[in-house]
Amino acid sequence: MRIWPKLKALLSREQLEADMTDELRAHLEMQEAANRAAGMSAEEARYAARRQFGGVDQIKEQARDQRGWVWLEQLWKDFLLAGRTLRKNRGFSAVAIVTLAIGIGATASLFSVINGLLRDPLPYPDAGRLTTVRRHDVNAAIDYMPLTTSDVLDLQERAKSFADIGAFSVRRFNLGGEHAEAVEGALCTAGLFRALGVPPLYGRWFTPDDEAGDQTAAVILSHELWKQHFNSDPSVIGRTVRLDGRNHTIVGVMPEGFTVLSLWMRTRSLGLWSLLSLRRGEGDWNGYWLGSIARLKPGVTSSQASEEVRTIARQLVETDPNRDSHKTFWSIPLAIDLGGLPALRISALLAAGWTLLVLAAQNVAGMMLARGIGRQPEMAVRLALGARRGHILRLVLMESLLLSLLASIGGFLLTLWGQSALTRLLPADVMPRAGLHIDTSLLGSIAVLTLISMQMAGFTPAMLASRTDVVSSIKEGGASSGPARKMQRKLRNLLVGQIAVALILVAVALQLSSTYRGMLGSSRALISDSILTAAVAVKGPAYQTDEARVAFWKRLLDNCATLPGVRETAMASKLPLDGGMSSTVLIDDQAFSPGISYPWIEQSFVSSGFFPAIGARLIQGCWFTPADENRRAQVVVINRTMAGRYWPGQDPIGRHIRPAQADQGWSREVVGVIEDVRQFAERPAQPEMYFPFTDFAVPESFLVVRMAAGLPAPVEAIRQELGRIDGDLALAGVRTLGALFQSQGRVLTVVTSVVDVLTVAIVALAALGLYGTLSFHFARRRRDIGVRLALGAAPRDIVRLVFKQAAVWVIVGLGLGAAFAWAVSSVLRRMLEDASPFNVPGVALGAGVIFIVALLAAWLPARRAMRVNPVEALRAE
Amino acid sequence: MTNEKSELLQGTLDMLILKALQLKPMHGFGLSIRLRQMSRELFQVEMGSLYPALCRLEARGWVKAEWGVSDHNRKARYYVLTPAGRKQLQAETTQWELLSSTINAMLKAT
Repeated sequence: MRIWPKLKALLSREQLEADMTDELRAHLEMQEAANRAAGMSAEEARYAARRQFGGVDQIKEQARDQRGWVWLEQLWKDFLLAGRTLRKNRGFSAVAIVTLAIGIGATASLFSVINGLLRDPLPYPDAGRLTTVRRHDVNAAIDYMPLTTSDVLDLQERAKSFADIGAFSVRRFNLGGEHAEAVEGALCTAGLFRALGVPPLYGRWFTPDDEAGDQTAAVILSHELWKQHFNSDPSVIGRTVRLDGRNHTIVGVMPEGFTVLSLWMRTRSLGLWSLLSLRRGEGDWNGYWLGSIARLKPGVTSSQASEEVRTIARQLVETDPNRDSHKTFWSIPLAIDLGGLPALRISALLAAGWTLLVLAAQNVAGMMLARGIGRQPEMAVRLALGARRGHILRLVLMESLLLSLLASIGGFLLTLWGQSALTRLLPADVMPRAGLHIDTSLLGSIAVLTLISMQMAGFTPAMLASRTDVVSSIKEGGASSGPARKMQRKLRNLLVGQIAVALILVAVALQLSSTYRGMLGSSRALISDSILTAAVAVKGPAYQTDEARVAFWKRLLDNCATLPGVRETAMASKLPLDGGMSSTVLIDDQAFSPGISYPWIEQSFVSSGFFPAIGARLIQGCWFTPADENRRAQVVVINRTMAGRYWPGQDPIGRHIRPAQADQGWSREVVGVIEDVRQFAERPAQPEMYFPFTDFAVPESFLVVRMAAGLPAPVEAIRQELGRIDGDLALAGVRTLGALFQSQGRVLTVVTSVVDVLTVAIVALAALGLYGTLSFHFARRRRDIGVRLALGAAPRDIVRLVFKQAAVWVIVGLGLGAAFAWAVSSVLRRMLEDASPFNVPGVALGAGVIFIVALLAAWLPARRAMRVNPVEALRAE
Repeated sequence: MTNEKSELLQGTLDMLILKALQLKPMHGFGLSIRLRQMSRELFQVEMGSLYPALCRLEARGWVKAEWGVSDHNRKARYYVLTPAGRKQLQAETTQWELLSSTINAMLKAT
């Protein structure tokens, strides 16, 4: 089959038609001439020619059928007709297209973020073979636990799936120089570089010899640090550099762009990597502290590796009964590990986008169904004139196809805009490192979304239209015939459903919004720009003991307290909204049992000034004092959530806390309860314990300085004070609590504002859809109203009739919606730890808006119908 | 949509048209007369078959149509056999001969 002539036939249709007309006419004339030559009269000759020739139009039609792709031509005709129909109903088309476009655009732009996160390319050779091993607490459903020192050593010894496995821990280092400077880097084992497989630009990786050697201090520099601090000098290899007050030998420089990516550091890059030699029983003081990256051996799949590490965990428990039996290993591909959690964090947004799409499609479906009812007489006439039912179906589907085509173009443009908006809005750590791109999968997803929405929006009206009953439709004008009644019922169900769904969505959106708002509000209480925070890594040969670090902090706090404008100085092992350090405890006389999975309790080590410095309110008892610190009092302050969880309805003061371990360990007496200070921006306050920093002065801690309101923090003076105490230590991450909140709470802020926008969008969409459907329905009843008016009905009766019908539908819908919304909200409260209760006034307001819109949508066309002369209304049909 | 004539007849008409065009380009009216002459006045092709057939042949690229002037100084659309059409004619003739000789042989069989 040749394509070109057919294509040509399709494209030059008009020329061909003209040719054919001319040709047939010429033929007739020739026949006529021949007949005359045979002796007929002029008139006789013409008639004979006609007779001999046959029906011109039939011949043309048959000839056309032979020529091109008939179906394609038909389709094109349907397409043009559909276009004309849509143009004729501009209002309807515009509303439908905009509605669908918003739904598609919102979903597709959020999809592009999640898709980008999960497919973010990793900057390592053959990165598909990289995996990470983590701990999984079976009871607590915590999947992202890091490993202990012995975990890594066990895995290195036993696991056969990995060609190499390395461990690392992100740290802050004091880089010595004229002025000490804080550099973010990582401690890492030699296996890490072998696993990642990126060759160094100069020098070498760490070797097993480095690891085995005693007291070896080796460091590998990032390209960036090498450029900034060593002027890109290739001869730095072998030189020594002062790190945390100790000399380290530079053994390598990594190429530009190299960094060790980890879940919480997806977008930041590290400055240096310092050699970590793991020894059994050494350096395990902070438990689960190591991230891991492993390279699979050729031929080993990720799931085989995960199976193997699980088996290893089981064997380890068998050989060591003291081990936590409920904490197993698991391994997943590094790319998924890095992208999965951020994707999860914003998947709520995607779900919101989806609901919007469903609502949009539902709206358009309602409008199309209403229009389908309105078009029944038209369809009946088409059928009566010989259109096949399949053709009618095709025509109506073509209209919805055209609608969704236009909507998907709109949706695509909105997606482009949405991507740039999201790039601006969302914080970098939930964005793909490679940025957002329009790729085939995104285009594919837009196509799929369009197809789905088209199906949802177009199919039922099309089926209904094709089943139109010719006789009764024409005779009765559509409004009350049997099948039309069936369609009316369908429309009514759809309307009721639409109202119900809208109300449910409004309720959920309101609940989410007030939940998020509550979270924002409860963390905002602490947010102040007059509280300055800075990190100090108190590390090095001079600070091997707690006593040395405590002495350092006391000096620093005292010195800083005398600076102008400073109200309060304090030390804390972690900052509000910057949580993640936790342990398990026993209370009072509780006995330890190895089979139980104890809940993780956040813990902080702070100086006594911490509570007044951040402005936390004391609820009960007292804070510990400098005197307590000096005499190493065995005390602890807990937060309100912890008091409520462990001593509900009792006085926690004077009770005791012990570590959840087999041997006795320490014991601390609860002396005070303070109000909750959020540990994570997106989670409600967790239980927390505050120990005096004299118990354990965490090497990497924070300086907290409360300034007199309105005064700038003397950052330079603080830096000088620090330098005066120890020139090897540097101040890092200097920012106010307000700025900290800005960065940590960004996802929360964005989600809150997006949910707000969604609420408005949902109400607007619901109102729009309702208006479209209802007004069309009542506009169709003009004839009905005309008859009633002609028969002497008063306008008041008409108003009552219209309102009664609309009100019944709306009230049924609202009732159903409210019931479901209430059910959904209780489910939501079970899922979200501190979801706010069912928002009655908000939902009532939403219901009111929907009700008013519905009555308006019914009233406006009814009023228009009443204004016209009854006779005209009857004739208009 | 397609006129449901048997494949055989349609194919035969196509072949005959190609045959008629083998000598010289012709217009539709000329073709109808020529076909009658070729059949010794026995076969009168209907216009309802001729023109669809011409369209079909054109769509397949076996004939080409161009406007020209007839013997009587009239504007007419002439159909010309293309090289592909010539090949097709040859193939169809061979096939037809094989078919008809086979059928003849079968009819004569006792």
